[in-house]
Amino acid sequence: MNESTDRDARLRSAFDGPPGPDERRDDCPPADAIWRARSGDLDATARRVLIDHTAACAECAEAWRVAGDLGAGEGLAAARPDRRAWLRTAGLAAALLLALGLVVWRQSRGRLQGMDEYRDGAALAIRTLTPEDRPQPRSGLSLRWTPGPAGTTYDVSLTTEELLPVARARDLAEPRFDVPAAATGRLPAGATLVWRVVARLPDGSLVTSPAFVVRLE
Amino acid sequence: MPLENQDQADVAIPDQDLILLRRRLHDAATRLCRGPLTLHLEDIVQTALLRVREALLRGDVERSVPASYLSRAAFSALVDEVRRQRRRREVPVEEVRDVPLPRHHPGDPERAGGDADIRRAIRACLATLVPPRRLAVTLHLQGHSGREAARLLAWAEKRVNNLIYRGLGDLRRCLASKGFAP
Repeated sequence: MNESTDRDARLRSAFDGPPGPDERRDDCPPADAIWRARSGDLDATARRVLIDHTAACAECAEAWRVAGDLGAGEGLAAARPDRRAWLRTAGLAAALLLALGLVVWRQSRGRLQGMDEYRDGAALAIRTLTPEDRPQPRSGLSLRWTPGPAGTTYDVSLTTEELLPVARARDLAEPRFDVPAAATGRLPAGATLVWRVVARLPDGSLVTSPAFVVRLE
Repeated sequence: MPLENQDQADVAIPDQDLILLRRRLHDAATRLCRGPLTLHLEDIVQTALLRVREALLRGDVERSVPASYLSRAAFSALVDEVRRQRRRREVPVEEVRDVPLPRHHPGDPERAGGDADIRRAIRACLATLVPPRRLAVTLHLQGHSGREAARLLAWAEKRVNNLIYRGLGDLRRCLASKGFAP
């Protein structure tokens, strides 16, 4: 083993560890979304969002590896690269919702008896009110979502499909973010953007939205 | 776990699939259940199997589907159960004393005590990378080849290899600035 490979192995070994109590998060995607992402079964953007989550979340990074151990992605090596995935924006919104699965997860939580008591405190499900099925104006882009209880404040992050930051807002009092034109001015026509909301409820708890998609004209 | 529940689970899943599934679940659970959760490993595996059985009975999973679908259902049940157990924190403090030690690193005693710190440092440094490099390096650290990472990210393999190379450089520089040199 040469020095570079050895150093890589040590990095990997250090990265591969159990989450500590202080490393747990409350915005983890459903397990099935991890499986589908690991299998290459989700849209590329959704996969990137989820992989980015595993960069910060030891618990989901571990689940990602275990999904591989259980056979997720066995056919991936033989699959063709999905180089034109960025063009397939028509089904992106639905795929993302499935990917991060919070809607399905919340619906199924009640249906599957006792399946998941995880995140019982998160009674609020944030949904986008910005249409995902038609392009939005580059100038005057307005992101809107379903409001939380009175007194809720919101942080919003808007990124490119590759998760490069485009704009961010903090402590918004209204469920709306009017994106500065300067932030979107340099993006190419037809660019697909990903955005998320973190709502801070009056009781101090946080609720994170799924990743939403908006496409520019 | 009551025996009758185990019998019901065995009936719901074909024997051959059950044996394979149980073995794979056990291996997976061994990986997921570290520290105090190790004590609950068998319960977690059994609960996951029961949930797969419930899914079969409800029709969420077809009985005739390939084993890979069973694995997928079992994975979800397993992760859900591990998450639930972790958050319920039902493990009494006194049990922790008897918990098997975490994985150690033969021949590298310095690492045993410092893994958590290094891991935190790696995650902190990953957060500082530009997103494309962070994604590529994360998959590299997860053990994916450049080709697999390229397919998962839907980017060209050459680009991904370049992102990994540059991202690892950024990561090592960041770690060095924090006093780590893995």
